[in-house]
Amino acid sequence: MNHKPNILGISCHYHDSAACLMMNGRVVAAAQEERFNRRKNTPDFPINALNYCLQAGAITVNDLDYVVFYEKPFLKLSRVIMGHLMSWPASFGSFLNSMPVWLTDRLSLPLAFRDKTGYSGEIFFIKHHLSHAASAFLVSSFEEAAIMTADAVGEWTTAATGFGKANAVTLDRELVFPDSLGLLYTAVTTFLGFEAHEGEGKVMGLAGLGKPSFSGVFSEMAEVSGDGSFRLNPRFFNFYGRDRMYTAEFSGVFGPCRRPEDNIEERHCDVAASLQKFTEDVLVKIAAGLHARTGSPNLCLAGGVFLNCVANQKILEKTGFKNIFIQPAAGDSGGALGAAAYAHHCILDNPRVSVLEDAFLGPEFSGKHIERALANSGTAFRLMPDEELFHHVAVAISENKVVGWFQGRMEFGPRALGNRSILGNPCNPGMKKLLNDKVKHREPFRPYAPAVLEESAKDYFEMLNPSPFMLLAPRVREEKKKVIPAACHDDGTARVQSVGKKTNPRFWNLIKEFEKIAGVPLVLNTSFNRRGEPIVCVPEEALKVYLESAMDCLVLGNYVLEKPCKGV
Amino acid sequence: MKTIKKLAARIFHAIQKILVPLSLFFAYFAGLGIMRLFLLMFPSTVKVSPGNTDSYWKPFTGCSGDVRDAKEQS
Repeated sequence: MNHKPNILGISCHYHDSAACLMMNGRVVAAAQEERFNRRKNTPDFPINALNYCLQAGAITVNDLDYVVFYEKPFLKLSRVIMGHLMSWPASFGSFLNSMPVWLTDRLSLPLAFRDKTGYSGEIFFIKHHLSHAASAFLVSSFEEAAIMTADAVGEWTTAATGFGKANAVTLDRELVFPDSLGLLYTAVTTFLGFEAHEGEGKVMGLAGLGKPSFSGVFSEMAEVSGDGSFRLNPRFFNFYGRDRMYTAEFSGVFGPCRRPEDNIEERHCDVAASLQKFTEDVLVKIAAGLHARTGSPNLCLAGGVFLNCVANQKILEKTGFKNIFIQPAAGDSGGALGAAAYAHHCILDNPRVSVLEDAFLGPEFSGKHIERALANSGTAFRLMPDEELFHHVAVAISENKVVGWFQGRMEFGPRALGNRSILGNPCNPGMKKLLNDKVKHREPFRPYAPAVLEESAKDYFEMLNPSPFMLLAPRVREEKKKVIPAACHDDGTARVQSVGKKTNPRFWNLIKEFEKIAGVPLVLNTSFNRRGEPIVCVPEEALKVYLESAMDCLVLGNYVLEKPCKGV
Repeated sequence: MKTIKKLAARIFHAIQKILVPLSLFFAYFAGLGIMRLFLLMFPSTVKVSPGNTDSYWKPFTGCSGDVRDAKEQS
């Protein structure tokens, strides 16, 4: 057996398609397909992401030893058929939509893969939640840890718990469809007028504005046992329904659903707050039980539910776990990484050799490429050495300018962590509105996240753990709330990213420079995209956003572009 | 030759556009429908665990790291 194998992990066909290349146990490259084909959360076969991974590893498809898919398609089909059967005849529309895709793409993945790439080697299939579990534990720094996964649904599994030690991952318990926290969250998300797989983060933000006055209703909707496992009441849900995931009885208790263009009422905020509280309570119960069972101080989390940074924070605060690792691509895109890691360590029995310290696994572009893009656009620019650049940009941020910050390798996962970011001044109470008006056009209730120097994070936030991937939401210290009003959500928390000098020296240097000027060691950091679009991947896309929006300043590597207008 | 190719393309198109939805229609209403009726008539054939149990966790299987298992799609 080859002990230095090249392994390609693939996740696709549902949402957040991605590819990940592992060479000799190290994650060399990983990226979501949406960044290349420019369709947000795309389910398409990740041919562009795959090509990028091979290019980054300087290999061809013939050099791959194994290709690993992040779930077992036939097992998933059995659940889909059963779901349609149980919702018959209301599931006809959904059946008619999904079956052709199953027959053409999903059940013929090996054939399709070989056909599209020319690959002739081995293809493995790893269970969906095992891929999630592997994606969290096998690249963590822990020698041993408890593992917890939760998402909408994999094959049948909706949540699982287990344990990881050395190069082994064992899941021992699972909850199965239709009892799913992820599906419950998505059902309420669509009820509140937001898009499935896209609006869950918005509901989490909305929850901060409401009171959990519907908690009693959620207790009726789901029967929760003492160990956190639960059963959803089928009277309220229909996951294979014609056009919605909930029943008339569901609407009966919450009132009419919100259409996307409707105003947000207090009732909507309260429904979101109640859902969030229910989610947190269940996750905390499961995690506490897992801690009692394993006795480990370490916990690894993965699955789309753990993109909920508020719930992650509650797990850290209310259970006995001291250290938490949440994989940056916690959703399905991370399944590609997990599948590859599981094959390398658990199937091929190779020891763990590397830790995922940062999420910068995507493409990067040379100065020449950037210069060519700038020349093609005919836009005036300046080239600055590092020190001048950091000072210049820090001054611009302190003057309330909206800055596009495009550096190095693109992030893997849904968060922009300082390489494809839009930055703003956290001290200006009007900055959220400014960012929304100029570029982002987001719903006004959604907060913006702070990126803070790792060593200063505890001075501003009640941090229990570092949060390098923006997946924890600690409370802002009372005395600092007035200092950084734009970074503080209505409920007093902030979705913090702690920036280490070692993992992202350029971003760290910029924030350090900002601290010298403004006196605070943090900036606002939001993803470099416009509403409804994926995060930018190439310099040309960044340039397009800059030129077509009211962004004040764009930094591509060391190249700086500025518009003459001033910030407020 | 061209006419044959055109004819073949039309037949393929007809299969794709008519036969596939038609067979899905029958599969759904005849196949799944009969199964559904059977389940409604004989509900005891569906295994339902009782409510108010102490736990809804089930054992997770399939994480042995076995190569043969990894090659399976089910």
